Amino acid sequence: MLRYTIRRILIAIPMLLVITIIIFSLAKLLPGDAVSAIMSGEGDINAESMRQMRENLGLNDTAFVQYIKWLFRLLTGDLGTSHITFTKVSEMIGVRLGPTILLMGTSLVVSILIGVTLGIISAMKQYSILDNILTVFAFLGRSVPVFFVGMFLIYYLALINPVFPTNGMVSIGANGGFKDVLWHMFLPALSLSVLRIAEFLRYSRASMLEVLNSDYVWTARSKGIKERNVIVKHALRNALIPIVTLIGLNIPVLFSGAMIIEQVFQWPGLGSAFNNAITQRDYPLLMGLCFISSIIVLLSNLVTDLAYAFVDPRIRYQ
Amino acid sequence: MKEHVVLHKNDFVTGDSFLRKALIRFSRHRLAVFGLIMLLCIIAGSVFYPMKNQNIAFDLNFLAISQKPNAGHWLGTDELGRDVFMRLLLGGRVSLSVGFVSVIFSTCIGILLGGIAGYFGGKTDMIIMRFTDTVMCFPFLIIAMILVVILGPSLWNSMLAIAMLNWTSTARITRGEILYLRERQFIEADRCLGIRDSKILFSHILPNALSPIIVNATFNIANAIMTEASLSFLGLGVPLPTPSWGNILQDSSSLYKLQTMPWIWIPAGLMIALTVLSINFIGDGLRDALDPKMNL
Repeated sequence: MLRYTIRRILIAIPMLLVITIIIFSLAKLLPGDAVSAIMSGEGDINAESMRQMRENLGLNDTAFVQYIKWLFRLLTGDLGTSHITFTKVSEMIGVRLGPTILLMGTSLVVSILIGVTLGIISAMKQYSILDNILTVFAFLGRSVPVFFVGMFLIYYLALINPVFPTNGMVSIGANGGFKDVLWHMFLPALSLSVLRIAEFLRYSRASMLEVLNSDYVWTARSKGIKERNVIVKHALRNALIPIVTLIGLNIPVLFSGAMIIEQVFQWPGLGSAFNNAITQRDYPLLMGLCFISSIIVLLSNLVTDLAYAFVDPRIRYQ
Repeated sequence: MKEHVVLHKNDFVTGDSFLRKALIRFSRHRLAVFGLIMLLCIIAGSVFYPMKNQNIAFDLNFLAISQKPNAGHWLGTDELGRDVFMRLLLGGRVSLSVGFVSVIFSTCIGILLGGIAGYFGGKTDMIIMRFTDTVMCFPFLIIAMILVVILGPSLWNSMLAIAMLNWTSTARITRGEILYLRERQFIEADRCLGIRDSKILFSHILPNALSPIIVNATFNIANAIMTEASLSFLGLGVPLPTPSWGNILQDSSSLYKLQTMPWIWIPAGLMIALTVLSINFIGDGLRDALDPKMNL
């Protein structure tokens, strides 16, 4: 296991480097630079002060030098300073990271719990009415855009029947107790979860069906073991293994979904910060956000792979 | 319960071509046929219906502002008096063209990269596949957003941005198929006969690898349509006043319009869902039809 872990981490390092190169080149390709973005709001722009400003921000160095400088600062945890608000990017991201992780984490846990349970029930009662309904739901869940679900929930549960708040994370004037945040999080988390539940349902149903038809389950049955024990002790444990991979695959999707749903519900997370960074051409913030989100995805892939090797020892020796 | 494989008499008809057998299998997949009919209706509707009288989707008409659905305007009008039904059909043109065109691009990229990686193996394979993994590692939508900002929002640039990210699954599948096929005896025979690499790859390996690539491309179309809608919703798709399903939804996302004019945005959302659903059904049907290992 240790050898596998080390090997897996060593593979991740060059990937991380390529990610930084891609992010840096993308940011360089963006039209207009930070100086023109800062200056666009001001009346008299003279070429000399723009040149001076570019010099100060290090924008006159060659792209390669800028990249190396950025990379070394990255290693020390310094993501740079925003050209627009002149605050540290790491601080700006730090403030926004919490709400996004909270939203994503809640949806992930909820959708795994509900999705896997429904998938297993669906597999055990294959071709029943319940199974058919759930299969249709799984198809629908793959096809409905997350922002439409969000808009519909606002329309139905916040405007027509005002049960939940339409946006934000805490009530105005309140300092945000646990209940208040939960109440605000209900609709955005629900919109994100509905689609993920469908995904988990589909895969856990397929995985459970495959296991239920395998020879060792039949052996267990023919030895006269009670059906309950066959399911819980023999089938379920093996059926859950592929689900571990599915969690990792779903995190990038969930992240993209969170970015959109944050716009719909004006959730104060990374999504809204990202939109601001794009419209204001705030490169350091943009690069930082891109970097952080890729790190989240890379890390979750790493953890998934390790977890998979942990639950299924065959993986380690490949 | 062990699943019983139902044998159909057509499964034993010999002498039928692969394509004919696939067609028979596809036509027996009810959901897929349903999806195909639905998709054809949507395509026909958005391509042919707006051919005449298209201007009611763009011209301001202050005599018919914010009307509910009625006989004259089947889905009502928006706050500028534009016909919602016509805008919806025109929006379909954007979604469908982005879906199909971007997938043609991305499938070509995927086949090329996956083909090279799988056929040559070794260092080439490692570099290409690591690069593919890295691209897969990015949150898709975020990079698509940045690409559109770099290129500037327009129809073509949405297609390009989506194609530049959507090729990874095709590359992986192509590579896997080729790794499997190139060890087969008929390819070995090719090599013994001294046939050129490119000829072996394009005339003998790829045709055999085509089925899973086509199935994957179908699901990629669904994915591309979804991404286009998301980009439009974030204001990075086709610029207004050209309607797209995503920007219709974005345009009515203010709480006031959300509550008072549901006839504008609910149909747009349903159209996205219906289109993607139909394509997913077709993809499922194609997988069953083209992959004889799964059936029988």
